[in-house]
Amino acid sequence: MVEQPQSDQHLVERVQKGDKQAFDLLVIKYQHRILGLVGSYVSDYQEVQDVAQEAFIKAYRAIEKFRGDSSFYTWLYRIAVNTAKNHLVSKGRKLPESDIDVHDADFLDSAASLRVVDTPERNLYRDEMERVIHDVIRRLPDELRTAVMLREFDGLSYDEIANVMDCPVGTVRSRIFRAREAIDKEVEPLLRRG
Amino acid sequence: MGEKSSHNHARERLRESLSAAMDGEASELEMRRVLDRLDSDDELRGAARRYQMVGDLIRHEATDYMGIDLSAGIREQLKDEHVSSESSQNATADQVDSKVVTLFNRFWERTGQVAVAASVTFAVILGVKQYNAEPGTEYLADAGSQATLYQPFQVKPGGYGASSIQAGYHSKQHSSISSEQLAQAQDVATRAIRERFRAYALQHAELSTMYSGQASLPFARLTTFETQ
Repeated sequence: MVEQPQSDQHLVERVQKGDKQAFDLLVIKYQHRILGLVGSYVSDYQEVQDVAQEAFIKAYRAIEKFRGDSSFYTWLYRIAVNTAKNHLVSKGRKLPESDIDVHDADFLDSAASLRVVDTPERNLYRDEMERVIHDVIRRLPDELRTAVMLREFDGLSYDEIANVMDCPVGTVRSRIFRAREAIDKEVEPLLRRG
Repeated sequence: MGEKSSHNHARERLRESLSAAMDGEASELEMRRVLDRLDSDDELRGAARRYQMVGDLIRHEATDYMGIDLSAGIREQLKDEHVSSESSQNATADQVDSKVVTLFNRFWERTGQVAVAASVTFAVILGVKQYNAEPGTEYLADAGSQATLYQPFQVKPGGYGASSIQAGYHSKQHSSISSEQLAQAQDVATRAIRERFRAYALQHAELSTMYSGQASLPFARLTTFETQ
């Protein structure tokens, strides 16, 4: 999992100063991971969404207490797990016997360990999306492909990618953007089709 | 056609800023610009979601909820909430500016015409009030009821063969504007002017980067302006 503690910290500080749009961006960044996490505790598809939303709301209300000792995601992760457990207790349901170690949150492969509400349709849809994306990436010019993979897969910063590729940071930024746009061109119609 | 092209170019630059912002690599000004727009620009929000989703899919981390968007519901729920820390009271000028610009842009988009009309009305009222303060204003009688029009105008001979026209609106309501209210109105007007100018400057900087080889200079100028 790619973590961006520094960039998140910057956004968190903005939220702490009252910038709600910064929190909006944090929601966009982490909502699917949190949904996946909550989905490992709660089986109902709609309830998962409600609990995940509640976790974000709690995080917002408590964000003044976040001091950056852990990454934002780790902190959010703990809130989401507690919210999911509280939800189960309130519904009189049994808590899971084994728990996911919160200290492993930064390295959690949500797709591998948490996917418990798969349906054939959803699997098919996700596989189709992955196939399309990897197909586009294969067809990208070398420099775009390398830049976007170093960023998305290896989690390197722009500075680090610039060192690896021996080019200016501005070029890295532009290559990553162009790669994303090329992928987006194929992905957007698929999403609209649903 | 040129206008459309420059619009597309501006959108592309905004999306590039978004891409950098998602990676935590955007400059402060870019981050502010992206966050300002994210609230009202559905297309930009869609792009942000897809960029994130594509990253998850590349890493094979996508969950079954990748089609779900909680952000709109969360925004709605948090609409009236504020972070209650001391730091929120000590928000930097940056954040305050950022919020003001967003509100200001929305305000001007929706009520621009009304604002212009209101400004003209306000100016007329102030003009009349000032006129009233001068001695020898025999045109205006003491008003018995509010918003009553007394002698809407009076033409009197002026110099050089021309005629001068003097407005003659008067009401208790208008004459009871306190200096505090006036100061408040002036403060609002000053802030609005300042923010509008800032929005123009930002737009100018964006457009300048499109046509300039030294792309960062217009933003540098803008930063200089903002610190003043």
